[in-house]
Amino acid sequence: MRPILLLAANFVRSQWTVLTIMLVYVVAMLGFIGLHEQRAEVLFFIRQLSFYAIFLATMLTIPVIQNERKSRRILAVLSKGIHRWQYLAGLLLGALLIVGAFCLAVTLATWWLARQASLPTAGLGAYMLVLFLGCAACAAVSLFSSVFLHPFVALPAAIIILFLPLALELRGVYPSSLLFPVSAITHVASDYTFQPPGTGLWRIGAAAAVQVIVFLALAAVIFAHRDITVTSE
Amino acid sequence: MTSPALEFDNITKQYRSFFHNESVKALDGFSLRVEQGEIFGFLGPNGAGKTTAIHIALGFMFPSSGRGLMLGRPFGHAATRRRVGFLAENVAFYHRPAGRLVRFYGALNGMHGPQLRSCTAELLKELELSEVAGRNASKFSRGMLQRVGLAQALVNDPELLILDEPTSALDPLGRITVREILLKARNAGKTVFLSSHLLSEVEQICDRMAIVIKGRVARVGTVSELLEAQNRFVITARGIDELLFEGTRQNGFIKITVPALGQRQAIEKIWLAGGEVIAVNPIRRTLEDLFVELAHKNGGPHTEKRRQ
Repeated sequence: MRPILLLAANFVRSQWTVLTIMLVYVVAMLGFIGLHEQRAEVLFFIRQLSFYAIFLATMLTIPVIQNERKSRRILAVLSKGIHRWQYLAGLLLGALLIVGAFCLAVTLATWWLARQASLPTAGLGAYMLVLFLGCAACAAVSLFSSVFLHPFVALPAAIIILFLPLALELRGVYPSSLLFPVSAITHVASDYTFQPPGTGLWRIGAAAAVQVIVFLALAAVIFAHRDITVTSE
Repeated sequence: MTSPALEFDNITKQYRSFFHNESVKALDGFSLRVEQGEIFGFLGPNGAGKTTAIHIALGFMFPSSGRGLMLGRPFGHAATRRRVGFLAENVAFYHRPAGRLVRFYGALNGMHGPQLRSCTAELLKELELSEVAGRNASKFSRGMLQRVGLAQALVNDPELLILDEPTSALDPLGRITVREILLKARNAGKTVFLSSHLLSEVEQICDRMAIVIKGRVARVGTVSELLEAQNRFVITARGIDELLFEGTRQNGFIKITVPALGQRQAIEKIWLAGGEVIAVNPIRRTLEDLFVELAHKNGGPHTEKRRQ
């Protein structure tokens, strides 16, 4: 577990600028929305930042393997006595720490805004927890794609895996939200109204958690059998 | 008989292009055995497959065929890598202070607490990095980065040290320091596998070496074996008429170069002429001579490409 924590902390350190920018954005939006404190503005705030959280999780993990390989920093890390799955788990955990910090900042900001606008906050914590699990699933799927695809291809591949139902719904096909939890979470986010969560939301959250484990395991199996370097010669 | 520190057994590594219409053989039936407790020089022209061999040993790549052992375990065994130190060519690190970087890599190898702190401090001092340990490594010159790279490779006190061009960016003083560290490691029973283009360095410190050309071991042996294997001798004599012998005069002596088979005949000829034989020495080529000779004999340095 220690190597995973070390790698995660290292990932957070290397991405602190991204986290800072996102947190500054939350604070700036908070200041702007705080001037109005109306229901529509507060809902806009949380819905918009929910999508940003999903975007952040994907963007942190899609290029990470390619960057590590191109910079050759991966050599010094994987020459140590760690397994490749630990390396991937460390990167994923690092990304989730950043996304978690962002989600926490959004939760606190939304809670404050909701209190100012006299909106109910009972379901906020549960919603943010499920959103975080959705972000974790995004990160796991993105990491899975990036272990064997170039980021330019890995991104569309991850989007297809995560959001296929959104395209199918245009043709009147509605796949199970348990198979595509992130897609279902985006529906919840776009319609979020501060209502307490039903059992459906918890099931989607659980499905997202399962997706994290499945895709991390798949990524680990593929990564364990791939050449991670092409020689400079 | 002790098990080798590193053993490559008939390894082939073939890269294929995306559409599989072109392949490059980086290693072609590559076999090599590195014994424990020696400094082993690993030489070869650019593109010969040296880095590929090292990366396969460390499990960064998988061979197309063949197998190998590192410290008695198959290549890529994670727990075995805890007993190995590695410095890559063109070393790159995270943007963190040098001291923390070394501690980070040591911690990845399972070290912690006072042991990690003292080992790090000791190495930084030895590599003259103590004063800059708090500075961000991203601001370091290439030579300084190489020193940090050596520190992270040595921090776990490895049994096997694999170094890919460890001194290419170092100044002469830095090279001497590294040489001393490697000799100290060898004297402590560690094995050093040293890939380098600095032939003089290899000649000075390596017990044995291999020259790799086109993904195969072209020559392997002790430094003296490889450099004296030319079968030509220099006979140093005096008291003879230089016009009777084809040689060069130097400080009153005549130096005559003869093939090994003609050695006895030449000595008898000197004696018959009333001369005195002072010394008979095998001709010692320089490593550079041998390197160039092998590279040319094998048709140039580049890896073989062929269309399928």
